[in-house]
Amino acid sequence: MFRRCALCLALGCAPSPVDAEVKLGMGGYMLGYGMATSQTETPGNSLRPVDFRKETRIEMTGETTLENGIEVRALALLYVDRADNRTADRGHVTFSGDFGQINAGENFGAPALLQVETPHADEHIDGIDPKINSFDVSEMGGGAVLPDTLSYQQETAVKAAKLTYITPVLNGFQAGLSYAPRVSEENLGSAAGAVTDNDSGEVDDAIEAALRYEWERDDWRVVAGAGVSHAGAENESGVAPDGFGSDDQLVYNMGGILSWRDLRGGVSYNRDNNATKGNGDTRITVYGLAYDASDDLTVGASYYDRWDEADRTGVGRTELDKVTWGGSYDYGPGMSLRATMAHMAVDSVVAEGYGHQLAIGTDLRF
Amino acid sequence: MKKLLLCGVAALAVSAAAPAKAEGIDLGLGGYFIGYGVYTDQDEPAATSTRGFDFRKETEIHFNGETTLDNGLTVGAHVELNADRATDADTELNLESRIEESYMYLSGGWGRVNFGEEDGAAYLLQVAAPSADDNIDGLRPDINTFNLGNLSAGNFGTGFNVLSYAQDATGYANKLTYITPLFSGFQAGVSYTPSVTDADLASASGAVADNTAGTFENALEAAARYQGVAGPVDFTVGAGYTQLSTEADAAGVAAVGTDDRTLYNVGLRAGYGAFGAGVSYLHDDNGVQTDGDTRTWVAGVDYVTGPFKVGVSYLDREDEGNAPVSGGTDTTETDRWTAGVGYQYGPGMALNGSVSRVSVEDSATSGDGYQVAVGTRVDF
Repeated sequence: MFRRCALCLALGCAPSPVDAEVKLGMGGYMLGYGMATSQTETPGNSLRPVDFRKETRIEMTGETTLENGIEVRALALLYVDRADNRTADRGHVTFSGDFGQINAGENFGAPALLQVETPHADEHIDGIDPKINSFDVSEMGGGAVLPDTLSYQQETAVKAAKLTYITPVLNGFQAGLSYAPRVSEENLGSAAGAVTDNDSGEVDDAIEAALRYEWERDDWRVVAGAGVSHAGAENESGVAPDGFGSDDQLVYNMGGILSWRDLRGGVSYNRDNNATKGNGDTRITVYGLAYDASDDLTVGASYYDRWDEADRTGVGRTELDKVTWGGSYDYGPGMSLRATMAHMAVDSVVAEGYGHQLAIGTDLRF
Repeated sequence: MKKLLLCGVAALAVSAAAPAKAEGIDLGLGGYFIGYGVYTDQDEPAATSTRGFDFRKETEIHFNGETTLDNGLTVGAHVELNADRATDADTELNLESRIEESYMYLSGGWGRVNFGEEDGAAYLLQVAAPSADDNIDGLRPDINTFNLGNLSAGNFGTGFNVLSYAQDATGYANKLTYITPLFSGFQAGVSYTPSVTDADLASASGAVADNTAGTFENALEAAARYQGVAGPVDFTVGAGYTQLSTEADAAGVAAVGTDDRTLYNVGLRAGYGAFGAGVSYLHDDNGVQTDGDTRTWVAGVDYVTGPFKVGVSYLDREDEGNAPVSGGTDTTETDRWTAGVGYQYGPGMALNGSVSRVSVEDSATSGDGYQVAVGTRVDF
């Protein structure tokens, strides 16, 4: 399938004949963690204090280089855990060369691809898009809206089919643009009929832009970046001012990392109006610090601070803080042991709670 | 994820789309395809007609990868993808999943540790009786066309058609398993499963409630087996035990979840030249406080010569009145005879044919049926 997909696309875009072979490959990762959690519970409820968490993806790729030098790569990323209720995470094709890179299909947009990730203790626990968590935020008073997983990745158009262009690196600068016609419908079947575009509570026509800069001299290194996303409300008039889709959605992020030798610190700021006309903004600030103690051992800590305005949560203005500290040890090629402690506090107008989480696990890369 | 993400960005700078696996474990593909033509003749309720001839198929694609580190530690991962159009409705765990197993493992001279969605020690070390065709009458059959619910009204609802005797009460829920190396023929294993319900497995879901009445948790499994030789006879004997605790007992005494659930099995298998014989027993109280036990006896013999195999098995199952199968009415008795022959026509390829007879009865109803199954299994 990849072979056919990549070749068809290549034929469509390249005037020169194609006789290069498509190289198929597989990759991915498997994460396995033991979790111990102690947190505030609503009266009469009890939460499991010890549990296992696991996350697995398998990535299938097909790639070739055309005679004109353009590299074509098709990728499908599959969910392969039993709890997943669907099979595909992402599927897209990439054309790259001296002109930069073009992505077409289900993938992150430019702001997520170029976003600066703050240093962390364990990327799976406190990274830009954590995959492992056992905190139940709603039990701590966060209401039903706040997610348990505290991602700060700017993925306004999620993984909806989109077209993205990213420039090559020019004097340390790199920029990108994305366009996604659909957002709320996310991923449609290839033969689905045209969908309505005036639905209340939905946004469409997402346009995203991002810029990133990297500089390095002697022992110093600087990374800075910013991104903005805009998606239009399909029908504002049909939504109450505190509802999603009552206004266009505007999201932006900015972040930076300063590194000196094996020590690095950084900060990231994200703001999302959640497509609400009223007080529905989410503001997230993340601070992080990491140190490579040796080639194999890295320790780090991060502080995540999140504000959700009253119209967003339904339980009044809510503040959430999370401190995570820990480290990882590489015990083999593509294999690491990880251990972190995380402390979370949730404070809303109506309730407050806190929790602690110990996570010990391993990360295998394929 | 970020690593994959950065890979895409880094590709811009070097203008090369290098795969992310350069420093990890190489994955390979494997799996199997099972395809059968099956003829069934069985009792039916009035106004019901059961299809006489049908095709049945079971396909899995496996992703495997492992590497051995300099210190001798073997690290690997295994994922099984169900690759048939029909959904894999796992009714006991109330989940339809395209993924069957997905786990990582570490092994060395000290034994093996599995972590993830995989069977527990009780199943992995269980001793099965010889069968006519593993796909039809093995420990966990893949192919079946008997509609047991139609054989005996009120008994065997949907999902209980396959007469498995596997001790797998924790299913593929995330678990930690340790299995010892083989010491003078002995091998043992233990497993721990905190959340038995698949729905609790999502990697980033918040802590799940652990005081739901009738729901099981904190499953512990232990198993041991011994394989040895006595004169011309080689034999394997084993036993396993599983205990699942209720988060809170359900009300009453007759429903599943009114008590902790306990299962145990014992098995013996012996071989003399080309002949094999064995017996296996499984007891499951189903987590029912009163009259809810299920007892399954299986005995089998086989004869293997070159690429040919001939086998016969007999399964005897009794479900007490409050067992899930019996529907709260009366004890249900189920018997199944299977006789068959197999021929290996190539590496990892077998042609199998078998005839089965099954009967189900309680004090009020009874029924029986026959099944002829001819098919092939191709491992890749």
